[in-house]
Amino acid sequence: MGENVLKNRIKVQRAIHDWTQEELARRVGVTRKTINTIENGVYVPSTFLALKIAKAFGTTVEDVFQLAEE
Amino acid sequence: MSNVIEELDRKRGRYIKIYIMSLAVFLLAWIPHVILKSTGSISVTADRVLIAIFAATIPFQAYSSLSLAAIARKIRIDPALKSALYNELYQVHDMKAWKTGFNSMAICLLVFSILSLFLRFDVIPVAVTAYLIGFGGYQISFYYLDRE
Repeated sequence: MGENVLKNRIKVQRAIHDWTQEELARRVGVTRKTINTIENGVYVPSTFLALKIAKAFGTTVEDVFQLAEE
Repeated sequence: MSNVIEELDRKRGRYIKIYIMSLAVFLLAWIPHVILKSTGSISVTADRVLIAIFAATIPFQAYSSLSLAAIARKIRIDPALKSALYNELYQVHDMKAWKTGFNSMAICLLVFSILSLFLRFDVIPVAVTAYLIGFGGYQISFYYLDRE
């Protein structure tokens, strides 16, 4: 069985809203670096931060983050 | 506000880099000085050169440490800056860096314990070295974790 990894659609959602990483960071209240590491899959955010990101996009967590098998 | 956050984050990284580089030069002169001094095999010239090298790095270490402390104070008094710059990613990196710092200090003390079977060391230089390696280990680890 493959290992589960967390995929995200932050880049897609940002493109939909026409936001830069810095704009999303400002709305969520973190640094651009934090958004960048989450977007690139380097860092797995806490539930709280994932909810804040989804809320900033006006969507659900499942729409931004998905479990995928590697 | 967003610009202030990014600027402080960049500045923090820059001062950590200055601190790490000056500390590395300091330790490269300090450690041989401690070991050579304890063996009694240090010449007057080598003693002066090593002291001059590690003393020259002290202003850089002081400047970067004080600048980092000033940034930390600025962040602490502003709730918006605090929540953005001490966010969960920072906290994860901070925790991992502490672990590395502790391990660096433990390894340093282990090495000195083994060396002390053959050499006689003064306690204070060894304690200072262990502290500096521990703190340096923390800073290096944090810098590498926190860079993009």
